[in-house]
Amino acid sequence: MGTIQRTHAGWMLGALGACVLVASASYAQPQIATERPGSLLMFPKVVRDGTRDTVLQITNTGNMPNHVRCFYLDGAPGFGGVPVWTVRDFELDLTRQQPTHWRASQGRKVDQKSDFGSEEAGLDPGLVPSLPVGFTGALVCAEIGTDGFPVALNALKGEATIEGPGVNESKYNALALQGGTTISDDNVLDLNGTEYAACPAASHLNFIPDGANDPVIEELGFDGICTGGPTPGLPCFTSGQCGLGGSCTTGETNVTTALTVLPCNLDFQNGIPSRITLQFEVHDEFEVMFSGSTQVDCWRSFNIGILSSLRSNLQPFGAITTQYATARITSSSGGPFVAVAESFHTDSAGNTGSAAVNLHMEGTSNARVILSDTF
Amino acid sequence: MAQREAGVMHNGTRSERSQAMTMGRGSLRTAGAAVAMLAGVMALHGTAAAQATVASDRPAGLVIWPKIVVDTIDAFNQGRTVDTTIQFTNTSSSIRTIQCFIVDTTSRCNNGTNRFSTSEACREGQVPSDCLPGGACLPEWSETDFPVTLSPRQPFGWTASEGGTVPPAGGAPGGSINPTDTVFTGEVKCVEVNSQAAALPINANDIKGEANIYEVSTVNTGSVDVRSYNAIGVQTVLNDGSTQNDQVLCLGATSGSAECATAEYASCPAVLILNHFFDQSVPGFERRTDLTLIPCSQNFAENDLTEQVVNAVQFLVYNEFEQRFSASTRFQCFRETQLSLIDSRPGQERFSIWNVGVQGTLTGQTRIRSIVGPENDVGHGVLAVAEQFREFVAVANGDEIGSAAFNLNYVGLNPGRGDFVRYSVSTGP
Repeated sequence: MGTIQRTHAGWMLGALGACVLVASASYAQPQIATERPGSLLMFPKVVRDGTRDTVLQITNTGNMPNHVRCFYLDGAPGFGGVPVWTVRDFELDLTRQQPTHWRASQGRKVDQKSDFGSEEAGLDPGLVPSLPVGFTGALVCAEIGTDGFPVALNALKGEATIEGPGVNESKYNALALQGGTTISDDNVLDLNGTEYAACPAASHLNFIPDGANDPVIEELGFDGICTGGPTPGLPCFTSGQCGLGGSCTTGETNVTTALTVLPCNLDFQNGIPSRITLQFEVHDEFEVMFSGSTQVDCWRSFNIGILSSLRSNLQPFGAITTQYATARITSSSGGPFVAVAESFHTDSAGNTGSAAVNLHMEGTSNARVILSDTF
Repeated sequence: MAQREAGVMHNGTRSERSQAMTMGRGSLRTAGAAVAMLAGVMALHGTAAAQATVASDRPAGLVIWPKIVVDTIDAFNQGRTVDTTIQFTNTSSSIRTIQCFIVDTTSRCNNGTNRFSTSEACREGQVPSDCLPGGACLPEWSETDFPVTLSPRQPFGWTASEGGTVPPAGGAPGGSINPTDTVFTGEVKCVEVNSQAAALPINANDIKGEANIYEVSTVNTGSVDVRSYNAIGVQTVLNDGSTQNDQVLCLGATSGSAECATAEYASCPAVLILNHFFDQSVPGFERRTDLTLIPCSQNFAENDLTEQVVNAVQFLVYNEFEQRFSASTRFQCFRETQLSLIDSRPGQERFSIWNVGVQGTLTGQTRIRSIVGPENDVGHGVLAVAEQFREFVAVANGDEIGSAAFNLNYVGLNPGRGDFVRYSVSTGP
């Protein structure tokens, strides 16, 4: 009897041990986040188009030196509208806790004599190439070891500030994917929740329906256009501004939102662009549901108003009647994705303010990033 | 062997049978204990798999908007008005009730209206003071709350200065939100609860949110500036929809605490990391970063400033030369400050360690750590949001300002030193 008990107890302890291992393994599972340092950074939106430029910031938050390999992915439409999908890479060396930055249009030179307080002052992390006018795409950076293969120090964080037009600026946090405890010695990064964090299975976007009036500018700013009177066509917020016989026709503000999508399956080695199909499940404030879908080849930044299900009913064929709405976005084919949103708020005088936000994430979905070989 | 032992059991003496039965019960106890441990491990596994965290990119049970600002009357004659829209969504497929708290931390002159004769509101640390001679600009703290019930997947948003009405949908009754004063600075916290009547927190992570801060001008040809950030979510440790037993939210476990011996929500981070541009002022151009700090521990049950926790906060600043500087400050309830004004006075920003002229590089990293105290009924965690401003001074259309808001990064925990959010709301019997 005692033998049986001991056998049972042994079996149970074994099972318990296995469970503990599973539990501890699960606890160590790497995560994707916009607020935790990681080993693989994704900046889904980098713009240098002549009126807008992007300032990129990367910091090594660890106490060990960090070697980083970065890839610019050009997603601008090329011949026939097909994305260019060209990749250029460069490497950075960051000392412990070192922040660095560069402007996409200028890159960063290696210059030990940079003036105090100048754009390139600081320890030179390495040469960063400048981007030509017309670049719209993404930046992906991975921690690598001295042998050139990926490592997981989980110490990188990053931000991107998109400046312009004019004084406008929008800022978002880079998505940081943590690496696991075992990283294989190759250039294939499995985003599977073990080697690296998996990508999100779905993303959530709260938004003002595309083309809707802006609730704040309608109250506080130029929200109308003069009709009649001595100044027709001029911006106004009261009829008194439109002179004798004129009136201010309000409701002339609007909000648009650009969604920028970067597929998680990235093959920098073979230059094969991913094609994914996005599905949108939209709910308005009355819990009315709409849906829509669109495709992304390689990389895409688009106005959500291309889908009537995300468009205000103030616009032709727009579906949404409420001031606010939410969308749950999934990929039905081609693998998962990461995204950022940037909203543009315009008054009746044509002044526009922009703001970027990171999307909320839900669940996990596996993907793979293949870095190009260094030879 | 097993059969023979079984035979012994059946044919043995009473004491043997008793021993065997005892052993049998012991075996059951062993199995029971093992199953219990297994369940515990599985529960741990479940908990671990859920990995309750503080994050602004995941739905949560406690959602915090650290900065809400309103100035619809241009109270300080800046040539622009300010307002904030607040959005949240129930990401669940179930009806959810949330209890929200609007915290008003607007400072006011203690001798009546400010020197602009627009309001009693003032900005601390201004030179010259926003108050009339003889007056002081003093911080205040008050809280109002409201419940809202959201149908499955229902989004909602409102403008802070106007309030709003959540439309009833899908069987959920909605709710209404009062407008703020015309000049307002503060924060909003919302927690998922079981009902509007009992308002007990539940173990569920379904709410996400955002805020858009507007600065709008109609001077000359006007201007529009908008900045957005995600609300900070504090997830519950369990995520089974069960109801908690009191109106004390335990953000992490606290050693020696009877109320919060175990964590109900994720613990506030030990360190906040801010990547930023150093403040810079050259002729015609200024760049600055503002930081808004709020405490993780709050006592809404006592609507009194003196009942709120005081936090000491340390800053480690690294420039691009890998050089390190440090500074510290204290705050209670709410602190909104330009980085350079943490360690210098208005007009002396060029002496600050957050100034380009001191650091020599354009960008830096600031690590923010709150000092953990010995108390076991209050914590000292902090949360924050940052805003960066780029200003072209005296251009043709007046000063032009562009801005962006963003969330900070989080690292580490303070084991055994949790935070407490207390409230007292009940409209039921």
